[in-house]
Amino acid sequence: MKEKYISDVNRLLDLPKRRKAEIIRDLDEIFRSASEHGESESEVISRLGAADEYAQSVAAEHEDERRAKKRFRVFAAVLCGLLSAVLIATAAVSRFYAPEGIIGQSDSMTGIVVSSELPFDPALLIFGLGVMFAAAAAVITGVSVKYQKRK
Amino acid sequence: MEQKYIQQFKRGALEMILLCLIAEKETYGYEIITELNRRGGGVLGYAREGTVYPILYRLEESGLLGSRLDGQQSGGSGTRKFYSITKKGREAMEELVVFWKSYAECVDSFIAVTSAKGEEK
Repeated sequence: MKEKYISDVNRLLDLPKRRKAEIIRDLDEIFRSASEHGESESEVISRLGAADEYAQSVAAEHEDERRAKKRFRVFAAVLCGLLSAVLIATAAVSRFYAPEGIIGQSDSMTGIVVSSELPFDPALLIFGLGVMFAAAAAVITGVSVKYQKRK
Repeated sequence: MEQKYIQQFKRGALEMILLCLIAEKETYGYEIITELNRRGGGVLGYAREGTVYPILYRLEESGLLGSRLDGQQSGGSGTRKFYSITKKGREAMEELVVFWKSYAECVDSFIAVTSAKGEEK
């Protein structure tokens, strides 16, 4: 009962890690102290309120920290999104852009061998990085939306 | 509707009350809540962990309270956090108490005028 309550609060709290750890430690102490004084777990829970109510009231008291965390998330998502856009665009351009002075429309065989020191196309690497950042942006946005919905 | 105004009074004074309570002796969360309820529950309303703990965090972060974790509790595996008032906290408390007294006096003077008028009628 106590374990479930504490893990529920832990799951529902959208606060910086350190603060969260403090709140969880305190909750554990609240239950322990109460039981030392002969209070049952259900009595404590009825005083604290349901896990979601408790999480919400504690979060409301730390609204500034919650906001800061949210701002940071939005910033990180936007930054990852931008990076991904730039990287993917770079990859695309490098793939389709023909540099000047390229030999073309030669009538006979010219026998040009394009060699690269890299065993793979660097554009592919840039593209891959772009996709990675896009995924990161999506994950961060997902986490934000998840906490937003719980509010 | 009055409930809303009463709530505001209580919230404003809780910080000072907690400083006073912890100034008496080093104490921990559960004891603070029980003391608050035993001595002030009827007037202040019953204190709940959800309101008291965040205030303790804030007072500690402002350097008005100090704390230590005590892990040597008999019968308990976890730790217990003991709060004590700091020098800065004591100064803040004294300042708040002085203000509270002049505040109460001032409020009383307003009440005195209206209740005197009420008696005249």
